[in-house]
Amino acid sequence: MPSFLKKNKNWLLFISLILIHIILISIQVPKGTEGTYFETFVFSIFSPIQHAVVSIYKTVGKTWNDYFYLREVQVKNRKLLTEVTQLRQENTILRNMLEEYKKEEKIKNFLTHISENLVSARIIGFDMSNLFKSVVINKGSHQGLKKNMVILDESGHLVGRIVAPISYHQATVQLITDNKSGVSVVKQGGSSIGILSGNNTAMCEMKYILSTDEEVNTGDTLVTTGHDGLFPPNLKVGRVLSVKRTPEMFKEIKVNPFFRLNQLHQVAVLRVDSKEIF
Amino acid sequence: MKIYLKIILAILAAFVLHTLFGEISNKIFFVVNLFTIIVIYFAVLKGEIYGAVTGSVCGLIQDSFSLGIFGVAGLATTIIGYLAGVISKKIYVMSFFKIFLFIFTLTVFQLTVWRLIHSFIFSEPFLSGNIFILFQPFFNALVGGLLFPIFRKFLRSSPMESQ
Repeated sequence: MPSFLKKNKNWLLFISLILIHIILISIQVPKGTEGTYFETFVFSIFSPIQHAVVSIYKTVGKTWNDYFYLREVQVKNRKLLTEVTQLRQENTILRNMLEEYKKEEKIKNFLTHISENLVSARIIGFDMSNLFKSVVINKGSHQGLKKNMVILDESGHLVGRIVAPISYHQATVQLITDNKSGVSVVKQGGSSIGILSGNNTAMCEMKYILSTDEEVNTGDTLVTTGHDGLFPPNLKVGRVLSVKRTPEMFKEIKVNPFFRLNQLHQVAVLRVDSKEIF
Repeated sequence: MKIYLKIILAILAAFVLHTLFGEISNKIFFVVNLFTIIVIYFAVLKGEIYGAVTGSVCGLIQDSFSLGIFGVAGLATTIIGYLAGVISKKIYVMSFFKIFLFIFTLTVFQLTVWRLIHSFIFSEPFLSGNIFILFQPFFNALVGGLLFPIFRKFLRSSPMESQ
């Protein structure tokens, strides 16, 4: 028996590794996007390295730029841009939310609550298997980030939501372009509700709109309904790119999301439970 | 330097460079997979078991930074690490052209295994999503072909010495 083991040592080790991976896959499949402890452990080890690399890269880039350009102007400009971004994000959310709330006192409390809970974060990494599935941001559980918190771009458009794994200073964001993502959306000012789902490309699809429906047309703006219990209502999501009638029950609707992944550097995290907004 | 330390340093370097690629351009991020190059290199240098173990570690790191199923990239990279070790014992992989062809074939195989598992688990079409990933075999082979002689010089050991 020992000679058999010695003779086939390499082969047995390889089979063991394959089995370990099959076990890992079997554990993960029923959990879906929910991370396992082992995945969170690996993520927690490597995400600080990712954070450090990006920070160093940004610092070096910043120093280089500061040296060659007008330093003071750039600092002021950056500060103003950050403020504008923050204000724009706040403004979009607040304007959308205002329509939902009528009582003045309620509005006042709500506005303060939202304003205090808007956290600015930076993209530090992309999904290693597909660009349009997820990103890693430089804020984590230490900043109070939790699963399902909503992520917006610089203009307050919907980007996605936080999913596992979340480490101390980093978190994973599932983008709305991921094919496993689902957002309840409606045409702005309309009533035809559909589900916006990604297809792992820069485009999304609006599903479950009946072929007989005449409401959704090319160029329409889609906003969240809030019916999914994950995303607050009235957040701008994307614009309808094409509407195709099919012999099947539902139309084929392509949607161009408002956020641009290649221009996405700074995002805002809505650090409130979605239930608090509904 | 002990081989384990070299492997750990190489994996860390690949991770750092991969992160930088993402910062510079997300297209480079997908067309070159430095983890695959490292796995193949250590498999050629030290044999199939080193290739498989390095493949497991690299694959699981990639899995933890993607929303897919944890273990899929690990499985695919373990298989190519093992295969690279076994094949390199039979074929002399030293010239640029041979390294190019070797890495190209193994990357195609790795992507095929990875997509097949994905298609099987998620019932997705085999070719879906990011188109840039299709360029990966060519650019991996090109970068690997250029890097292998540098690695050999840096690590002061020839792949054939270990065999």
